[in-house]
Amino acid sequence: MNPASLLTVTAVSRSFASARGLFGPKARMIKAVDDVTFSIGRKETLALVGESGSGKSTTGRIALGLMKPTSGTVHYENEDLFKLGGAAWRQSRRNMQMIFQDSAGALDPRMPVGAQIEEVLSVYGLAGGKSARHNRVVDALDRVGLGGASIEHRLPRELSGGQRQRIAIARALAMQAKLIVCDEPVSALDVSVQAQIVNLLMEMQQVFGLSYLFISHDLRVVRHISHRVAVMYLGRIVEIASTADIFKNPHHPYTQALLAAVPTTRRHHPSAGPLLGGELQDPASASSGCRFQGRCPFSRDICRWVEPALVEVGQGRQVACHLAVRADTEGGGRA
Amino acid sequence: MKEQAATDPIGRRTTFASTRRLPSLVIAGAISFLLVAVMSGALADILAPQGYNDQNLLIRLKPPSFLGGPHGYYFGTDELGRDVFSRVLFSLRFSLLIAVTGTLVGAGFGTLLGFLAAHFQGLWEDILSALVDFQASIPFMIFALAALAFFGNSIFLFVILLGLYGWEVYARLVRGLVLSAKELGYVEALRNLGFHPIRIYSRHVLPNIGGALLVQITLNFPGIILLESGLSFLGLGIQPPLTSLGLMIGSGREFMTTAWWTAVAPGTVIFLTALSVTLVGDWFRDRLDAMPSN
Repeated sequence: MNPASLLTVTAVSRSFASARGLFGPKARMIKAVDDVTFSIGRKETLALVGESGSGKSTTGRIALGLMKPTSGTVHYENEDLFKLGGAAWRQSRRNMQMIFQDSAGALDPRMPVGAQIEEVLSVYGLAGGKSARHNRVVDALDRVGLGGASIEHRLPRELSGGQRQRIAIARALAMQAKLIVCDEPVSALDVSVQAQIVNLLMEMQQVFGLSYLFISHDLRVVRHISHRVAVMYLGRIVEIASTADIFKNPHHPYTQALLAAVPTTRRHHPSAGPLLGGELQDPASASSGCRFQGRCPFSRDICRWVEPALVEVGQGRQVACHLAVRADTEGGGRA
Repeated sequence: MKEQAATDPIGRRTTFASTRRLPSLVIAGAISFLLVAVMSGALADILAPQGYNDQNLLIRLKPPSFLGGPHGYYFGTDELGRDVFSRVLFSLRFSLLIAVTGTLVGAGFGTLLGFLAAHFQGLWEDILSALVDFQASIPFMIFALAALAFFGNSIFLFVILLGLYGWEVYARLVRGLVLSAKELGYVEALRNLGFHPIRIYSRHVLPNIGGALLVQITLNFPGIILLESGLSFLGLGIQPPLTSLGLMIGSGREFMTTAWWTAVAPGTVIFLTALSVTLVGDWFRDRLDAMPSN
């Protein structure tokens, strides 16, 4: 475990039992997250990317301690999250917060947004009296660009999606969270608002030294905000590297395909890799070998029988691919 | 919800639904009747010309004053020469008090079980559904008769029994509402803020489902009034010398052919009270349905 890191997720797996009909076959176990390990440093943004169903959100919820993993541990500042009792677990919430894609669902629909921020302060005793709390609320709203007293008395449904997302950020700031898991925070917003929210998140990181686990499928946003990127496929991390490395020189065929799928406005800009066909494989029908082999254009014999491990191939760079490892040890990356 | 309001493809209520809506005059009448009923029950001591047990054996079973009866006896007198009007006012007080307390007991008990089932799920849900099945398999009147026969008659037991009537409706309703609130995400968000479950349920979930709960209470309330009247009519509810609307009908039954006012006066009050609460409940439900849900 890296002592410098804020959050360390070690060998976390989570399986779900599939629904079973009255006379249907036995319930099958589906591994949504399989042996995932990563860490997030202070003031760092780690992006978690992958297509729908790759286990990004489940990983985020486990990292936050909202969902118990089937196996593996999560440490926040060297404290095992799943060994905390009820009261200690609730105290740990002060440090780690979540921002959801559905900004309306994150707020109590019947409570004015200002009161919702104030409640956090009073539960944790973060500000003395009522007037001090109110000042903190006004301050927090001001920080996220919702200054002026008019917003705080409104109900969530009276605000726009972007404004609600700002409220969620203001609430996390008010409780002085150090780590924020952002689960697709901008996917439901207009592009212009997306940029505002992303910039706000980056600004808050500078000011308050926040760390983010940024879950997204939008690679353009990820490139803008994150320091490192972890690519997930079918519940496993297939590649993890710094943002610059991933975008300049993706090692894993899946990463290459993901990047190739990003729409570009430049006509003469050749795609970096092959475009993928097919669908995400049914996670329940896990066979031996590499999970990606069915869709991989470079699939070899070894891929069918041996599941590649996530191995270090360079400075802070890990890849789970037989070919990438070989290519790298032979000197010179593939691309 | 028994009736679905018809809507056109873009979600506006169509004319069918708007004609079905209750005219506001009826609602105003129902609300004012309820206000008058509550006020006259509360102020019975001042409003009633006589006490509810003041007898005058010289004027037994006299008709109401507007039908030629003795002056000042608006609803006539009963078999002991007591003023029916005064007795109706006091009966209204006792019947309403008992029905309201019974409703609160039932709503509170059912709501609590609903929350427990939705929060803990598993075993608690099994217990809840076993209790609901148990209640559904016994006619409630028989159950109430047996309980009163075994444990003797006391107002406390009577109120508890009234509360048991209909608790399962609240329990099922609340369990469903809490489960769907959990789906909405704000409950998980609040949990993630580190709030204690009791705080989440009392400060956030309860206000959000309060409207639906209130509608259910108004829909159940007439049933409780009628049950109280029915049990008292059978002689198992309120005992003399106390009085209640059902008890008055019960004792007036014997004189139906000769002195109909002894039964008709309390009967009309029961009818109007139950009807008014139902109308107000319906109107309230329509208002709630029309409100934006989020």
